[in-house]
Amino acid sequence: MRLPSGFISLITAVLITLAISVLDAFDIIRLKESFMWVKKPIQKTVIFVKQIRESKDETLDAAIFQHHIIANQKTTEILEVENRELKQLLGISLTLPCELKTAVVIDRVFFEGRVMELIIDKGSSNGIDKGLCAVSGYGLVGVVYDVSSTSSRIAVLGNPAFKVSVILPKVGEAGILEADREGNLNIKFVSTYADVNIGDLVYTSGEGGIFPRGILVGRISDVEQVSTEPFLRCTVLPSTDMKKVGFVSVCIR
Amino acid sequence: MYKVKYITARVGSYKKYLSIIFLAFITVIIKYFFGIPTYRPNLVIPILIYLSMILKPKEIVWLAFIGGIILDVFSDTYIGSYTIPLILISWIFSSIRDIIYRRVWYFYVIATAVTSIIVSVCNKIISSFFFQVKPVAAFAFQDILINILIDSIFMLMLLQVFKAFFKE
Repeated sequence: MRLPSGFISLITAVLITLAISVLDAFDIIRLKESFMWVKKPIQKTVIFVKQIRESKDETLDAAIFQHHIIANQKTTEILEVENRELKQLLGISLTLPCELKTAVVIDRVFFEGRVMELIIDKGSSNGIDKGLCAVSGYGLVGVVYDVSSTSSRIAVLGNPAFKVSVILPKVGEAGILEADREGNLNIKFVSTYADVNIGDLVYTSGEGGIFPRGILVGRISDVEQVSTEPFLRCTVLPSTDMKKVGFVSVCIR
Repeated sequence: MYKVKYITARVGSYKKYLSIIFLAFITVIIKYFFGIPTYRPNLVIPILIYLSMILKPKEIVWLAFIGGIILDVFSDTYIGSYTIPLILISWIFSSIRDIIYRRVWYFYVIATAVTSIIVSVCNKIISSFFFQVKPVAAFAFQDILINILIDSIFMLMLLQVFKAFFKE
């Protein structure tokens, strides 16, 4: 009888396989364990590749999370600034002998890089009228000169149309504060005999009836004596930064 | 009936071993990489089917033995669960190829599907026999069908590669 081609090879291969299987099953040769030196690098490589893929996803998640944190941080910073400003405003409102109506600055009018007007979100429907005094948490802001039902315009310090009577409590001098064409705040009618120094505080005097007495206006930033003039040239740096102020209070009574 | 000459002389002695070892290791890496126990391609089946049409039975048996042993050593099943079905099927195909061989692409796909069925069923039987696992018939049937599909697709994809590699 003639055997099929390759039959002996088939039987041999099957028998070898069975023998290996039996020897491995009874832990005699431990073929699988002896190939761990091949198996482990493959597994490690695969795990490494998987970790890289997972780390990419984690990096993306972390980036999104970081973006949210930064956004929240910015919101917190804005709220902190507003909170600080409102606290200052509350502090000044307790010292002033009038009723205050707090409003949000919704726009600014600029001229040659200087703030000329502030527009606030309160108007005649909230009891605001022309000629009322506006203050911020840091001091005097200006005067209301135009009112609609829902908004008002405030002429601020630095506007040439705005003048206010001020005093220098340290030296007991009074004067009129007004802005020149270049936007510098100058005090007129300060006597040459007054001992005015840089850094002296300037307050409203309360004369005229528009502004209450004792609102901080700013500090003396420059003093100049001209021999041909009978008064000192005092320049004032306003305490309120008109470009940054976000809330103002209007003295309505 | 097609009379096919044995073209062992044209198939380089190293190429057949190299290809079977390479594809066996690729299969192992795919198994580790995806970690899915059932749905994975067995790339040893296509190469064995292809080579069983051009090699003598006694040669294909040892190639099947090498490929099967690699799969068994690096799998969690008992040694022999891949090797024995692969040896038997490749020997049978190689022995009866004068009767069944057609020089068309779907012949290889059908042969791969048949081999895949037999290997999957053998694996299920051996798993349930040794590991006392009783596979749910519906799930087992589903796994087998998916394996058939995957192996057939890979056979289709690799057929031209094999032809180019072995310069048929």
